[in-house]
Amino acid sequence: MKEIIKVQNISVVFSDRPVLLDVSFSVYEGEIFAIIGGSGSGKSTLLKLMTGLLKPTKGKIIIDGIDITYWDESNYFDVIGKFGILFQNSGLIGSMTVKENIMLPLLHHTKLSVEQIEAITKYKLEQVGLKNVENLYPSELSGGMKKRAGLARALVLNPKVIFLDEPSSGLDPIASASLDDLIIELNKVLGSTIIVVTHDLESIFRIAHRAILLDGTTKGIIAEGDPKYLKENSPHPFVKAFFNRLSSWSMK
Amino acid sequence: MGFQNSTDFNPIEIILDESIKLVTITFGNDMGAISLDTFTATLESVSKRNPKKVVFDLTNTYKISDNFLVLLAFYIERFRRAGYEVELQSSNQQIEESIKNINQLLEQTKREETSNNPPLLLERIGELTFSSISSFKRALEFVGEVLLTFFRLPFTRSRAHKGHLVRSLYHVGIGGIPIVTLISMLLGLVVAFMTSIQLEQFGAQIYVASLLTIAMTKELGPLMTGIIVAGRSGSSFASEIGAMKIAEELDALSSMGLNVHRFLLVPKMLSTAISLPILSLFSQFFGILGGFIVGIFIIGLSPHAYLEQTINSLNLFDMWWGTMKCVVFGLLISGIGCYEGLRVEKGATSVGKAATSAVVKGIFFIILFDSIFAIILVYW
Repeated sequence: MKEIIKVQNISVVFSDRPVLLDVSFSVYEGEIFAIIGGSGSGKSTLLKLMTGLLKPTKGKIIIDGIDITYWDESNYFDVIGKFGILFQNSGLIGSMTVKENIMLPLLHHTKLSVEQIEAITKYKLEQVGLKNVENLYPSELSGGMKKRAGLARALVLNPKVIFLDEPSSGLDPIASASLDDLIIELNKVLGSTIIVVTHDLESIFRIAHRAILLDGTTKGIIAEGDPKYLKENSPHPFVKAFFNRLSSWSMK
Repeated sequence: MGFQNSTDFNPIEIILDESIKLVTITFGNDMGAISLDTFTATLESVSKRNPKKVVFDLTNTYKISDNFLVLLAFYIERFRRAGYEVELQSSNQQIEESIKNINQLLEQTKREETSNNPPLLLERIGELTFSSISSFKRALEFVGEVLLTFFRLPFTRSRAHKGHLVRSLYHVGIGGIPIVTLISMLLGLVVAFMTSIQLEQFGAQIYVASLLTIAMTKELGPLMTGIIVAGRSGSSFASEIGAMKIAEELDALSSMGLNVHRFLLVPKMLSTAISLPILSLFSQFFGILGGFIVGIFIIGLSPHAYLEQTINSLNLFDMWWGTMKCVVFGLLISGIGCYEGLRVEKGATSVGKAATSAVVKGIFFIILFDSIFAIILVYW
């Protein structure tokens, strides 16, 4: 399998407070990769690093052969054009309708006619299971619909890698399960690599092929592998407790 | 103690032995029956009796809530510090243990508090200096980035930016017309009325027209419009951008390869710089109209004379000068509004703070630059 993302010895320090220390891992093409960990373990920071929104204090991130750690404006789009991001709060621009939101990247980066762009927009919305919402504003959508619309926008440039930041947060069990189905389907149909940041155990066991578990105390990776395997066989008590949903009290 | 039965009815009892100055506080077996206030009031009364030794008798107590334990630990510590000998009698190991734990906890927090000394004056001055230097740097960086964005404007045309300028012009310009006209007209009425009372003393009421015309075109029109737009649009820019930042919309924009400055700031700054001079013309016209109404209906001047005096005092240079000032005010207001919005970090309170400081700083800079312009005009 081909490595699509390589994170090498990344450290992030915010004014004396370390968030990540010496983290290294690889993501392979076509897999669903989960970044998990408790609150404050640096999951979101890691996502921001991998998408170039934050620069590390030390280390290197290579996406599809390009070092994205030290991009500047001239090559930024070569890098970020390779991925789509679904933000935790969907990241839809509140002053634009759903359709305008999804059209935005195409308008900016392609020379397609507006008619063609509208057709693509409609198709992407269909793909994520949304209908008749084109002219609504993000504030008029439910939580699940917002995530789907955000996902449609993330998909619109056919990215190689899709990042999902806590896709199930704030969703009811049915909505988050159907979002999981959608993620699995997109991975199968489009063959995109999907990186999910989450702490929703059910969804991890259902969708993730491989996972890394971040630890808030050591600021690093504490376990790596198939979550179902880790749940049963990890020698580490914290990893076992996390995957079996035990509190730190019952670990003792 | 010979009154063991009576303690069942009296959950807390104080006995003073005068001869050896011994206070014995006996607790009943169920402390749930008394309130925290009675408990503290009883223990407070101990020091009034001026004892040498205090004995807490808990031998009959089986049930005691942890609030009482904390208070107990607190008073034991206090009596010890007052120099009394304190003795705890109890048959329950757990109670003693808990009190010991609570005492340790209290001591620990006290030690931590004393080690966190308040910063010295010199330290504070240093911190303040560093923070003002870094905020000055940040502001300078922002100005530089904005200038660069405007410089690159012809090369960064994209369909994604289409329509934003018009939308913003509508909000800032058209939306601002009612309030600007209303306030300017009222201002004109008041100024004309107040000055007419003074000018009446030497029969020079006709000069109300010149005074109002010169004041509105040169100073009051641009200034009032600037202040109104700072309150209306500067705050709205700051809170809009701040809320967008919290909702990760700015991250989303840059992740799509869109330059945030180009996408958000340019339309807002351009539209304000364009609308402000036009709004100022409205303000000048309606201010003068307000004066006209007072002149005709209250002072009783003839419309013809008033208009003639107004036209004579109109000076093209003053109007150009006012318009030019308005463009600068517009850039200041919108730039400060956007800067404050981009500085929002987390939470709803910081959006509110950004809106407030956008207005406060906006008005401050308008008046500062107005003074600078006045000085330039004098020494030209």
